[in-house]
Amino acid sequence: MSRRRGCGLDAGGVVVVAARVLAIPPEGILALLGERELTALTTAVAAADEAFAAAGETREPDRVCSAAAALLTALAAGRPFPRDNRAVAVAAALQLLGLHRLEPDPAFLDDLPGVLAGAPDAGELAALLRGWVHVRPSLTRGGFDVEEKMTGGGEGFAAGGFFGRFSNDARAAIVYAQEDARQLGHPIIGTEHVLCGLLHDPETPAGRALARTGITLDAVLAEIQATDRARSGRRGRVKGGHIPFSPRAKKVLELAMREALRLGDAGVGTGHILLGVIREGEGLAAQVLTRLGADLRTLRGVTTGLIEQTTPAPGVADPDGQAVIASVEALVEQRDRVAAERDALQREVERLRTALRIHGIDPDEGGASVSA
Amino acid sequence: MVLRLDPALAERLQVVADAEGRSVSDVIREAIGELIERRRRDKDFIRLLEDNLARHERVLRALRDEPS
Repeated sequence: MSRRRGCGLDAGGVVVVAARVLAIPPEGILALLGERELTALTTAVAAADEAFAAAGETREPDRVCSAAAALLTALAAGRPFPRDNRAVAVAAALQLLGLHRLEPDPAFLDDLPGVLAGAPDAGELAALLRGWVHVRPSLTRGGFDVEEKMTGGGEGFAAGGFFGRFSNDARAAIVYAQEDARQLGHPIIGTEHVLCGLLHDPETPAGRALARTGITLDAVLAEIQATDRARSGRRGRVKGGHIPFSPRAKKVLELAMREALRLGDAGVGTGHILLGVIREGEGLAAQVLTRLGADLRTLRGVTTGLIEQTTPAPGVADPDGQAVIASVEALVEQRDRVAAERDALQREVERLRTALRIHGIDPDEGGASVSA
Repeated sequence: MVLRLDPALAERLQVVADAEGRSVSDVIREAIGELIERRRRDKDFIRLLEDNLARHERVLRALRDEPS
């Protein structure tokens, strides 16, 4: 069966959004959905997928706006949830936009209650939305607007660029790497800065793997600065703006993508980048890790284990969309297999019955009797 | 139950429901349940959701139903 590419938000995602808005566990929401509500929910998600697919030739933000508008209007009209449907519908549309790194301008959102009161159709709302959507400044940490740096990075952070398959954590690590290079006064982003970037968030697979190995950001920075001193001062003055990657750092990122492919993961996370650092093996990052007492083979094993414990879902989760259909298809296929086995058994029984009759045995009689 | 699914799939879905003695709604609910689990484990998805709800709390509050 052919599978269309979905908009990125499936029915399960909408229920998770609703659960958070309504402060009800997702299972509770699901239990509340009767036939009409399930129809309204699946219809809304299908409408979003259809709008996304129908706008196939237009630019990505326009497609996403069409899908978000279709989802919002269908949820608002269908009222699948027990209360606060408009709030859930808007939260779901915001989530869909956010999955594509977009969000509406605050001025648009301020007007949205009034706009929705006019019950616009999906096309009208999409047209409005297209004029008010922009790239979201999504990952704000400690006053440091990662997204702003990412969009200014010039290294293909935009969807579809080299970093299009990187998870938000992985992108954040790269942005931190750039900032660390700048702070250290280095004119390029080397493997050592990539390693620093991975250490900023201790909750990521890479951060956890490095912590288990006893590697800290302070220790790595101290090693880098010691290297600078040994090299008679690499430190310089770096102006704002784009800092390029060194060839070795680029190789690390390419190896990270290969590691993700090797592990069968759809996207590149921080763990894959750390595996890239280890596999590259000759850059300053690998040297620093070794100097700090890390056994690279052990670190590789720890990192791989942590990646496998983590759900692989970068940026836009479920890139194929149509996940409801996929799950249903799996159920249908399971049923088809059982039916096929049953049919085969019935054919075998019939064959045996025929064989018995040929030998003068009535298969429907309780006891076996052989006629002369 | 009318679903906006491929008609062939909808028909097969009905067959599954009939074969298992369940309603189509139950089969759909089970499928959505699997998707919910996947989303709950999706750290990026949850982070984005929390970020959205925090950043847009005011407008979402304005869109809630009037207390009856």
